[in-house]
This record gives sequence, C-alpha cells and structure tokens, in this order.
Amino acid sequence: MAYEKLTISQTQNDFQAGKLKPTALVKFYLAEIQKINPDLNIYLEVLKEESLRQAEESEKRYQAGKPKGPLDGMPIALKDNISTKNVLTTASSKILENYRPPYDATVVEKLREAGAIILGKTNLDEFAMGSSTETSFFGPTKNPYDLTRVPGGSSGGSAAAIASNLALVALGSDTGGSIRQPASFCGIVGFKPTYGAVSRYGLLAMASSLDQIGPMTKTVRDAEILFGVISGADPKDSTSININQNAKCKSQNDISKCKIGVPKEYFGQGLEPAVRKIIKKAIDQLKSLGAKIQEISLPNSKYALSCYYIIMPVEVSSNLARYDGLKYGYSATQNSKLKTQNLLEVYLKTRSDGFGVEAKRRIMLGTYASSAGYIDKYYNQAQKVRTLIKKDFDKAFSEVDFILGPVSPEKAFKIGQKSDPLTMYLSDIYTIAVNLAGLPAISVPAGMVDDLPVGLQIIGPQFSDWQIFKLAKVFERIRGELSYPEIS
Amino acid sequence: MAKITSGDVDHIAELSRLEFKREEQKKYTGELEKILTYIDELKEAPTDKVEPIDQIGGLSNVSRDDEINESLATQKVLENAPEKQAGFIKVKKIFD
Repeated sequence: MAYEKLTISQTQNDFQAGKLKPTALVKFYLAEIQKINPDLNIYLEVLKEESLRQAEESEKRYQAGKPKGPLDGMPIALKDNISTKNVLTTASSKILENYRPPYDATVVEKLREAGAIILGKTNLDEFAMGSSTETSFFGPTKNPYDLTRVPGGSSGGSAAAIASNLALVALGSDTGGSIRQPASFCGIVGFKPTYGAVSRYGLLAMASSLDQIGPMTKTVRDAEILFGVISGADPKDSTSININQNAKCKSQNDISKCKIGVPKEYFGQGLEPAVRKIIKKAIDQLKSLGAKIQEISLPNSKYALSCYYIIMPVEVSSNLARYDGLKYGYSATQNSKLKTQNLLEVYLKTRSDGFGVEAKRRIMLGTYASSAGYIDKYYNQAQKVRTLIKKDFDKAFSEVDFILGPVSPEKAFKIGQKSDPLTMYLSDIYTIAVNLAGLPAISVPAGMVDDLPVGLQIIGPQFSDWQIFKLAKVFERIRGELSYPEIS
Repeated sequence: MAKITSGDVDHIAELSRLEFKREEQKKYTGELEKILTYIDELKEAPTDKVEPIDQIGGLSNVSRDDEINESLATQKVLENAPEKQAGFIKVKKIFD
C-alpha cells in the first residue's frame, strides 16, 4: 500500500515539488476503491470522471504555481447525507435512493472553492441514525481492521475510507457521537465542532439542535486544516457562528501545562477494562508533560442518554415529516405494486415503504414524546435536563481547560452483535452529552486493544475548537506512530 | 414503568403517517415500552426552577436584511418531484 501516511501538507509539498500529481493521486484512490470497496462497502457513489476532471484542473493550477490554498487537489470523501449538486445524496435511505439535490451544501461549496476533489459519497446509518452503519439501506460497512466488525457509526463509511486509505480526508456528521465513535473504532482522528461552527445548510437534517458536520482525517493537523476551510458563519444557517482562532486557553499559554479534568462518571461500570487502561495511560502521558490532572464530576451525565433519546427523536419526527412522496425522493405513486387512491395513502405507503426500521422507531418515539398529554412529561422535561447537563460542563470548565475521557466504552463490536435498540443506544454514552451541551470534542487514536483501535476524547468549552487542536497535537506527538490495517 | 399498548402504537403511527403490519406493530409496542421505561429516569432529575434550553449557542433573534437573493428556478425545484403538471407539483385528491 502506498500513500497511507500522506497528510495534507505533505501532499501539497509533493504537488508543489512536482513529485506527485493530483491526477496520479486520484487515479491511485480510484484504483484502490475499485479493489477494496466491494468487500468493505464504504463508498455508495464514486465520482470517477468528475474527480479526474477536477484533478486535471488542480494540476494546471500547481503547474502555474497558483494553487488555491491548502486543500487544492486534495481528494476527499463525503458522508452521503451532505448535499452534492446533481450527485446522488441518499442518506443511505430507500426514501432518497434516487435523489440528486439541485444545490451544494455550504461545506461542499467551500470545498470546491478551495480546490478539493470530491472522490465520492460514503455509507452511513440511515439518516445518520445508528452507531454501527448497519441501518444503512445499502448494507453495513465493514471495519478495515476486522471485516467481521462494524466501523462504528453513523459516519462509518467516512471513517473506514480514511482507515483503509481510500481518501486523503473525509467529512462526517455528528449528532450524538457519529464522527467520534467511528473515528475511535477505525483508528483515525474525528472532530465534532462547537455547535454552529460549521454551516448545516445542505446537511440532510436529523436533529437540528445537535447535528454538526466535521472532519475525519489521519492526523489532527489535517482535521485542523479542513476545519479552517469548512467553518464560519453562513447566512443560509442562522445558527452558524464564527470561532475566534486567536482565543487563548484560560489557565496557560503553554497548552501542554493546561488543566485537565477527568470526570469520574466516564470511568464507571460498563467501560471495558482494556479501554480504561489505554485512556489512563494517555492521561498519564499528558501529566508527564506538565498538564495538571484533576478529577471532576458531571453529576447529571447519567441523564444524558435519556435526555438525548427524547430530544433527538422529537426533532427527527419533525425533520423527517418532509419526506412525503410529493416533492422529491421515493414515492408510492411510482411503485406499481402499491395502490394509492388519495393523498393520505400516498403519505402512508411512501413513508412506510421508504423508511427503514430505525428511522421509523425514532419517528414513533419522537411523535409520542411530543404528542398532546406527553410533551411536558417528556420533551419539556428533557429540555430542562439539557440545561442541567450544560451547567455541569460550565461548572467543570470554570476549573479546568479540557475534559479527557474515552470516546466509547468498548472497541469495535461485531456486526449483528447489538440487535436490541437500547443496547445499541448505550454505545454513545460518553459522546452524547457533548452534543447536548453544544461543545467541541475530538477523538484521537490512543492505542490498540486486541488489534483494534481505541480513541481518546478531548472535550473543550464552547468555542475552544482551535485550542482543542493544539492539545490534541501535543497528545498525538507523545503517543507516537500507529499501525495501519492490512486489508486482505 | 411506561405502559404502551397496541392502541397507543396505532395512534402514534397515524400521527406519524406510518402504517404497520401486525408483527411490526407488536415489535414496536414492546420496543417503545422498553425505551420509554429506561427514559422514565428523567423524572427524577432535579429540574425545579430550571429553565429549558432554547438555543444551545446562546443566539437569539437572528435576522437578516430583507433582500431578494437568487434562488432555485421553479424548473430546478420540480426536477425531483415524481408527479408534476404545468409548473406545479401534482397530488392525489385529498377528500373522497
């Protein structure tokens, strides 16, 4: 395997020196995809001609000595819930099986302006609902480290694309851990930005108050570069904001001597002992550099999962109401096996046939929790608990600069292992609170358990995105090199 | 413990514009009850005098200038509609 250690800056150096050409790199990835994708089911759509055409244009810019910026010529994979103009965008759902958006998401517009080359669209859990990529209408993606295991989810396709060297960088989306958990399972870096830091315009909505697009890469520096390109306030997303790049860490100028909180709730029952060992070692390594480690408590984190499983499905049931078989996407009227006499039947048959099991489950749960007689008991109570969870973090960040812990309680699990929905939901126990509080967090590979990667999670206060990268780079340096999977 | 009946599931399905076969209805009844029983712990959370979150980024009243911007042409918007006629989306009759 070649190029598996290539980073954005190395690629750009090689492009500039003429040692490597954008067309050659794209051809390499296209050949690898053709070879590996049938077994791993990572890409749903590969843009062969289009990516080569873009590479040729990029090549001309490098030849003229005028690349557009750090991403010019960089092949990228996009999670298939990110809208790409005239290119299939399915969210891995039957209901959008043939959907080609007439516009680009803001992040895609930014990538194109920066000269990045879109290689293709990657598999996900249907509408990003899942932690394993198993709920995809197009079948599960396999973990490159062990093909009998899941890559995590919902951004499992993007994570596996980076781990198996089928793209230089990728984008995912994170609603309850969907960037960080697959990053942990696939041994790559995954960054979930502060809520609002990246425009959600063109991201197929799952739970709008929680969804964020973010980078999935081999190195922290690559994630930082990618974040720099895709972030920023966007008039098309009224919740989007600018993050101050020059903000300083509160307690220390020297990031390696910052104050780090370790929440006792993140090391309780349910955490696999081998994962605990790796996370503890990571914390010790940072301590040896001069970081001040302090145990903290996030007492309301025990409610995070329940809180999330009210707020998220309520937003899901509202967001997915748009799939009605009339405006775009799958329609029962186009299926000769289904008879539809009136409008109501079009709705019922389109949605019942078009949505998968998990999407329906969450629509039902959300409809119930927001229906007359139950909205106070469930939704309004959950919004109050969300305040408690945010206050826990506010209090913690008045004492420490960052919070460290595991990303997931376990290493990648087996395909089919978690057939019970509640068991599956519990796999996001350490990532969910971050979305509820709107915080930035990163998953950085920390070590291996039984030849499977495990990630360390670094959580920062709102708007501390750039400082998180600094600390994550420090950790990456002391952690040392990692091994790459050998895909047979 | 949250009690969910098959009647509840039928009602929620109707509100959700979904329909289920018998076995599916039975499966969802059990699963929703299990999930809601787990979620019931929320009622123990100390939320007296706690305000609900409205916008997690702390933004309020985000507005923009009332200017006309370029938008997608009707033809483009309708491209994905399964049934259309004379620049409109065509739907089946609403009343019998």
